[in-house]
Amino acid sequence: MNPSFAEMYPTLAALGRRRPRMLADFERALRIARRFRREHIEPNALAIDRAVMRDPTYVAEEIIAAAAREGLFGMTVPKAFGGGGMSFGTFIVALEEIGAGCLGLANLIGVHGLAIATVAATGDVGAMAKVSRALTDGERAGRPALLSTAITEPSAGTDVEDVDLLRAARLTCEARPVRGGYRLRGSKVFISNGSIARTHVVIMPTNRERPVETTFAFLVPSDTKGFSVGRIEHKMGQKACPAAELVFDDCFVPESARLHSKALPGRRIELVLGATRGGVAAWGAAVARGAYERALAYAETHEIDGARLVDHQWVQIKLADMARNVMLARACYVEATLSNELFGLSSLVSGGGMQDLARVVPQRVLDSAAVRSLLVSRRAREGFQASIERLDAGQIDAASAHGAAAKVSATDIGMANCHIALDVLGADGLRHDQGVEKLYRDAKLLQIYEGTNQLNRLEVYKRAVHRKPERAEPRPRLSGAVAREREMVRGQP
Amino acid sequence: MIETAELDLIRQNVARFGDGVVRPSLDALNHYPDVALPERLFGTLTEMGLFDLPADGSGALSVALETLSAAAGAPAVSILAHVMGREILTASRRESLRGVIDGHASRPTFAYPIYAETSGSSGVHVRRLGGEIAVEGVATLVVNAPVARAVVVPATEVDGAQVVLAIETSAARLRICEPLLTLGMRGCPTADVAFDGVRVPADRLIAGSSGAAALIDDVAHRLRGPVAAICAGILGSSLHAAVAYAKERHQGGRAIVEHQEVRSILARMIEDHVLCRDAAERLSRGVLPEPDALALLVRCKERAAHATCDGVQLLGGYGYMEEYGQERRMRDAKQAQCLLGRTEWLRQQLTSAFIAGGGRP
Repeated sequence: MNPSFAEMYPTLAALGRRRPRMLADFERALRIARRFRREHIEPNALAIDRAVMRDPTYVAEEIIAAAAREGLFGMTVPKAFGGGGMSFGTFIVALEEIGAGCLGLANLIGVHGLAIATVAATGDVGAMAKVSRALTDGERAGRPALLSTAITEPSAGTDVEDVDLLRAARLTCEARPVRGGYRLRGSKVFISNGSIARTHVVIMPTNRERPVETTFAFLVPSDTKGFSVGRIEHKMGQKACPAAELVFDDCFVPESARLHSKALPGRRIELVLGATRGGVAAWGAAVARGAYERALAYAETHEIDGARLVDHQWVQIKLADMARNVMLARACYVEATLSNELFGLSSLVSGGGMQDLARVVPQRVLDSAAVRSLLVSRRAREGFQASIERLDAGQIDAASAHGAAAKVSATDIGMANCHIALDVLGADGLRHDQGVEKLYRDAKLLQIYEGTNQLNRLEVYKRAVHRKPERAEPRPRLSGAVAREREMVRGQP
Repeated sequence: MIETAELDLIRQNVARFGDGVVRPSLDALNHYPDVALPERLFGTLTEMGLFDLPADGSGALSVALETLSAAAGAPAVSILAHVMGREILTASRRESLRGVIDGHASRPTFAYPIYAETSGSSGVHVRRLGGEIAVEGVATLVVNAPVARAVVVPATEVDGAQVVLAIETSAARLRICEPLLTLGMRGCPTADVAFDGVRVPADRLIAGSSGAAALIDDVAHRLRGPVAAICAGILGSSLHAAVAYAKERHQGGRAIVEHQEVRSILARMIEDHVLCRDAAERLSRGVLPEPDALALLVRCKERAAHATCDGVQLLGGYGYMEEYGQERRMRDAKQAQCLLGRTEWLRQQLTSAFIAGGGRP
């Protein structure tokens, strides 16, 4: 049940021979996540699911504290901002491991990836430093300053994730510019961690008649006047991660709450989703694996028609299908993640250059006032934003296409394995105490959030099948440490 | 033979009951066993005589269960399990226990493990001790067990032969475990039943090794139509909700029903619904060759389970939330896929039946 790292990730293991440090990060992430799953998730996941069924406001505080002790919330935050310094790409193996135990808890922990990626995609390094420091300082104290990302509106879900659809979206939210800041109005729905986050990354247009040109990100603390948590949703699954309505009732935020960037739709949203859809794909692999592991354990210990299930050929075929599904889903998300590391947001946030720098510079230096003020300086922000602008559109397309394709493929596979597992377990699979029915409920949400799988298919069409003429072929810019890393990954001398 | 007009009357009455009593009880049903069962719902089902509908070729039971399942699958499965127990007892011609039970007006009277395969070990074992039998083991996922007066359950003798038992739930050393939380059909009271050395008169063994399997199979065959009807009812309701939402919800400046992909998904749901309704009707008539009947049953259950997932998908985030009902339909349909046995086990039976019949289509 616990295959070696090389068995699970042969491509990465092969890469690791060329770049052992990268492999060491992957293995470390897996080791931490595996221990966390064994000690905290497996013993508690079903009880938490049941507790939330009885009381949707229930929050698994003890698991959040344990995850904080392990440093899971800040693991992908750059070391310069007080985090673990692990790239999103390497952390992804932890997402699979945790998700195989409980997708809801994986979402509670991993949804930060969406918030951090959104802030990073604005290029506002100062804001990145601010939310990261709050997160990691809280984490060290056992109370992480959780983040949520508020995008979906009651009448616009898929629309707000696609620049082409956004123009005609039925938006109700607006951050109207006023003297000294903005007044936020409207409500956001289905916001993961919305009821427990201390800070919300809120995506709103300043003029909802022109959303493509005026949509920005705002940092809104949960104690802001005019902000409130509305309905906590009664979801079918992933119950450990609360989803809530966020209400903005003439909620004033100062000018500084708006992250400095160009409008988000287009390049910046593409960068975010290109990164985070790989994470959802990892959860597809995770639930496929969770279903496979439970079906195998059951088949080895239960009989039908006088023989152990695992001794029936039809069961062997089902188990083999589930095992190959796990391999396929894993290959999908690893591919998407490496694509993002090469071409997407991760190439900027945690690409070789920044990562290597963080490794050689002592932490006390990174924590020094001089470095801190440098990181939040206008010059740092403009430099980072310039690097976003320099990213090749074709490269972004490549990362987006891989992310969307992986998200669709792996999450469909996750659902498929749940169907198979329930068929192997028969009536026993229907019982809550067996855990498989929970996987089935949890898995369905993967096909819906981060853009429905239908939208993601169209994304693959736009980014990979029928690319706009102005978007060039992926052409990695080769310079310095990043270039050397990319060349090694590409297998070039 | 029931006339079409009578079937229409059943359909109308049950639909009215679904709207007036079942739908207002959905929240309570969905949160069972954490909240109490809505007594009025089961009381009215009893008053309407739905537990007493015949499992014959009239189609009355199928029509009632399809219409009821459109509102909620759980009470339909409660009726189905009761009818399974009742029909087994009736077919066994053992009158002694029937007399005990028929004196009670409340329904459901019988509990039965309706999700289990109809052959093989049930986890319950029997030893004959002169004029008594001793019963050991646990029957799992017995539908109606928390509320029924008698449990009808397959069991195995010491020599491995299959038998059928009918035992009052009040019997000494018979323990109804805590009501189970299951994937779907919540509100259909279900529990494990433990037999801790239960000693009962030998007449509780209502079918011996020579006739038990045939008896269960005979009744199960007659309930395939109602099972398909439950699938059709759940899927029809999911389709109805999906179409309504697709006409209302806008994306990219137009109703999503105008998007070709949405239309394709709806079309597949319509295809599957037609298949399920057709299967329910043909199976309910009860004149199909065995391979045809099994093929229809397997396909119908499987398609309903998958199509109701699409029903959730079409509503996006709303489909995943309890208040819109689609997630319940998805869970119920997946649970219905296990009625009368898991899909792959039925496929094995299908091939056996096909070959036994000469292997000609």
